[in-house]
Amino acid sequence: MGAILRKAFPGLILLTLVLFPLVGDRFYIQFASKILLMIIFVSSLNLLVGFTGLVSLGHAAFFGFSGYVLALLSPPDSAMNFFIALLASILTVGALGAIFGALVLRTKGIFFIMSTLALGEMLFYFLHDTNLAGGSDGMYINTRPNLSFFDWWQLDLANVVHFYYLVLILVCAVLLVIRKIIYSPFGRVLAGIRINEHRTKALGYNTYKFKLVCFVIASMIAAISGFLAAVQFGVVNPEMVGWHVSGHALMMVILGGKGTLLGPVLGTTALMLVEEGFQMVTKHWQLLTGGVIVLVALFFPNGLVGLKFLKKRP
Amino acid sequence: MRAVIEAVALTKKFSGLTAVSGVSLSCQRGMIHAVIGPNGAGKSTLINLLSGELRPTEGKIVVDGMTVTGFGPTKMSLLGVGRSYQRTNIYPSLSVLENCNIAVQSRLDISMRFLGALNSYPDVEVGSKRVMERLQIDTLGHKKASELSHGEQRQVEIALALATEPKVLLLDEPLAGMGAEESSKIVELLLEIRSDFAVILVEHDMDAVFALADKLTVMLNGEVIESGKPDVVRSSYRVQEAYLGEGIDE
Repeated sequence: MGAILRKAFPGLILLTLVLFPLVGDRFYIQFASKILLMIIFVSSLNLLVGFTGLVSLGHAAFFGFSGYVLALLSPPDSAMNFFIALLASILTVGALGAIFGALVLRTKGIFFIMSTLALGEMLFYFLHDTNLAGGSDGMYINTRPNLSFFDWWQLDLANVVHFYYLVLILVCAVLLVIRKIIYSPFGRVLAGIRINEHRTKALGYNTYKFKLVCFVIASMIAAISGFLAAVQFGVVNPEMVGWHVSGHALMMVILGGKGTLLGPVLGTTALMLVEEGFQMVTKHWQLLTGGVIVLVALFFPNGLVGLKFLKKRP
Repeated sequence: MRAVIEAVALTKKFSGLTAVSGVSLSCQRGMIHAVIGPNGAGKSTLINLLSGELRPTEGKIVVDGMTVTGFGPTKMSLLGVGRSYQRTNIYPSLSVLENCNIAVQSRLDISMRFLGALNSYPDVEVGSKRVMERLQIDTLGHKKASELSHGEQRQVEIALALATEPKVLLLDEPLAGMGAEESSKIVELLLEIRSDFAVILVEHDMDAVFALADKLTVMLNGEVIESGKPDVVRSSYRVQEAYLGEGIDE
């Protein structure tokens, strides 16, 4: 029975998610999209933190900057082509990731954390204090990108159901790609770096190069998520690149279970639901959320993945 | 026959302390060159210099006729200098097979591939199986390295070095902490595979050293006090004095 459940579990979840917009109301569909796009971001951070052992506190730089790329590219009164805009965001953020990564990966441990934090905050103040991209108010994206396949089929991204399905497809795609990566030869080297970087170097791997490539991949996946967030809300602001967003995501990684594929899914969903739930009940919701996190940390030191039957670590 | 690896007047100073002082040695394919000496003689520092983990203060290192002084451990490994560590340095949370896979994969030029699963590259597992059989740990393939006995972990340690198919094998106390039976297994293995490598062996187990070594270098306080064929070294007055005077720690 357990084995059957285990096999069927992802399928059941997916089926529920596919059917959800048929029954859910507008607010909840929007909220679900928010969770799903956050799962993409948290999974990209998990690639660094959980699979490679690189704890970054500046990952939001890539999330927020991707939204800014879209905002800057979008003409004021017409729509941008979705695919071109997404590709541009991913590539621009990938380049930014390469620059940031090349710098921060020269450090280790606590210094790595501090330098990712520093670079992220530099980007925050750059966007906040200059008028290149709307300053502290951020920028609006007046017309959402146009997603059509050769004019015969078009998604309306302002429609919450259409947007929901788009995000759902992208979450599945991203999770599949990450799964591919961690079981690939490249992913095995990342595991080697996480567990014993010293030996991995001695076996002939240029670990800096591997970490840099991983850093760029993670930034590009974060870009997908930031792009979607910008599309959903039609606005970007400097807070999106700030350390609060990075820290929040890091909390989700740890809450769910770092170094597992499922961890970010569970961690993101749980934390966002808990926060939303407490916000409805009390204005002291952060106190209660903190309590939940402490309890999870106490009883499930490996995160929420320790709570159930799906547990696998390559 | 030309030396595969050669050290010329290697010196390593750590802020005031000279750990290795003007040490020269060389090793050819098919030869086992043992380095012995009391604790603190600078044997491990010498291995760390030869493997690129430490940068020599003076002197040079030549591998296959190429000067490689100052190269890091990654480059040295790719040039064919493999090593094992005195303190077991493996991947404890991975299985024995996965440990070997990482080492084998380093020679296959597939490590930047993201999308095919590792097991779609059969060469990796074939290589791992071969090296596991050599060390007689093939039955342990699916056991987690951290759950192995000390002796078995030492075998994985050597397996990782062998799996990179080196020309030079630097073994830093491969028998450390092994029981008599396990030790003799490793000695047998080294006798079996010696023809393929130039081996530089640091070891305290004198029975093993005299069973294996073609050439012996004795170090004391960072310097070479004697070097030559084992029986010549054994009868050397300076060596006897060093060992009897300082006492053998193990």
